[in-house]
Amino acid sequence: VLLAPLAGAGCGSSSAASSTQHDSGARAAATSARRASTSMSGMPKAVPITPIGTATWDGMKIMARMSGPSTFTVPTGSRQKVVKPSRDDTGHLMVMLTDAGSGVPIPYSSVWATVRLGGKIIFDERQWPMISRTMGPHYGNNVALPRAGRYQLTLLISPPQAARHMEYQGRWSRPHRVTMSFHWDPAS
Amino acid sequence: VSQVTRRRLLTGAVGVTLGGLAVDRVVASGGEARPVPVGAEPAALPRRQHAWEASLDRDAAGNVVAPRHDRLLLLDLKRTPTAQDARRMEAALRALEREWAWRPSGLLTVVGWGPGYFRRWTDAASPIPRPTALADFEDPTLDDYDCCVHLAADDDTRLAAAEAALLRGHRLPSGVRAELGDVFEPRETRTGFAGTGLPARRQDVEGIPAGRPVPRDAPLFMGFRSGLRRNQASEDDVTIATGPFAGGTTMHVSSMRLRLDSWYEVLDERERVARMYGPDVTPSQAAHLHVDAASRPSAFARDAVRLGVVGHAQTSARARRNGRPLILRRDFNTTDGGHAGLHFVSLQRSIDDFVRTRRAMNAARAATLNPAITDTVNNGINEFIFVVSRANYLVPGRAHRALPMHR
Repeated sequence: VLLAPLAGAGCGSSSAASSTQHDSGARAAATSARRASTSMSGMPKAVPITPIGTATWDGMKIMARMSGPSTFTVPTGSRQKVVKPSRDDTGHLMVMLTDAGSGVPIPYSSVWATVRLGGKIIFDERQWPMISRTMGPHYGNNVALPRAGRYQLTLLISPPQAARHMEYQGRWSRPHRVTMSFHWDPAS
Repeated sequence: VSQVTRRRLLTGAVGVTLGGLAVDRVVASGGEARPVPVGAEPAALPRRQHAWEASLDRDAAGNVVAPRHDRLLLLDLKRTPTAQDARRMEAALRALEREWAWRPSGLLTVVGWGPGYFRRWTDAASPIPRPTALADFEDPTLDDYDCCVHLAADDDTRLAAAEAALLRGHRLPSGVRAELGDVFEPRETRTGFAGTGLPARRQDVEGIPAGRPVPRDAPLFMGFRSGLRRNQASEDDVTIATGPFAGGTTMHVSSMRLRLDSWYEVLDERERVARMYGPDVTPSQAAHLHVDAASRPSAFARDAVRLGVVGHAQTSARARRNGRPLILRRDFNTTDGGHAGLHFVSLQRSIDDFVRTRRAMNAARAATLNPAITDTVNNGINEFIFVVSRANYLVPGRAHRALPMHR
């Protein structure tokens, strides 16, 4: 079981090296993850972060991780709306896109995540473009994994829609699909 | 003789005689045995395959009421088709037309041919392009089927009977056969429905959150009406005017998974209306839209900047010609595979008209106007539909519908 504390800056990137490409074999810890919450002072408490998998795409590092279900806000036009985890949610799926060389986050993309268990689609949604104090820009959403098992995560990454410095000219011009598998056990 | 005949087909000169004289000549020159009889055609069938509307009911506001059930039969040819095969196919389609009247209480059909059909089985350049991905946030399977047969009727058991007759040799209720012949390999059948009450009764599937949120009287899973008459191209609008396929049209067929968890659980009714139509539209106004999906397309940029959300009807309505939509939607919902989905069937004069409409719907420019909007955040319904596959087909006129231009 690979767990990383989420207290303090930069913790999100430190455990990425311990995951193997496309198949971390990691086990998410839903029971401890459920304890994740925001402290009274507004600082996130330490929560377990579980690597799901890592891939690269023409100099972009794609990392998928799971933490406990999170409460977050989403922009619904002219206001921010609070989204709370549902009773069934077992974790918060985060996808980090970074420059593989510098580690600097890459925003302005879109990420659609599809989670399958034995070929059946369990989760299938666009990830919210999201920011947090400790994780920086990433793409996240709460997910509900029904039981222990080996899951497949497919990510469809869109070309970042932003003006680019010249080192990024011509890269990531089409959508890119990666698939990772991971084991999840609520009892671990 | 067959070369001459083919050239005449290309120029459309043989017109409605394809099922008769022209093919007879090809058969005669090919030295095959007696031509397969194509059978009588019921009187007064429209020359356009896609001419359904005269047979459809209309609601109080004059909107056509779509058939309640649909099937798409996706087929590949097993071998090089012959003129006899074209006659067998025409005979099967005519048998269906004699069995059931050309209306939703009977059976409506459209037969389309993919770019791969023209590439593999004809000497003609394909009149339609291959499908492509049409957004930065999709990576669909690009279908390459030879043929797509769209069946529609109010009674799904009739569609099942028609499919069984065409593909499996079953007899029609009257006892006659309508088999497409051994030349086709069925690859896939897609099924679906559109109409008041049908989605609500089928909402216990993946993609729809718990709690049965689909309104009981909704015609589609997302809870809104589609196909208001001023928000649709007419059958005339989408008919090819000149060339070898004059009287035909083009058909785009895509399949999408619907993901309505946040549609129903995060958004309230006002926010759903804003995304379906436009942020200036209220739920009360939306409930009283009878002939057009009023959405103020001209306010697109202003709404993006000031309100941080743009609507699906609003962005799509920017793709119009002389104020009229470019596409005629015949989409329907599905639970194929146990997932809520949408089979998006659309007719247009050229595939370019569909591409233009879809790119308008993508509204990629909105993200440059307000960072609260991305291609899939606060941008119409883009975030609730995941495109699984795309395909383009050419729909000839009725006279040319069976294996057009085959070698």
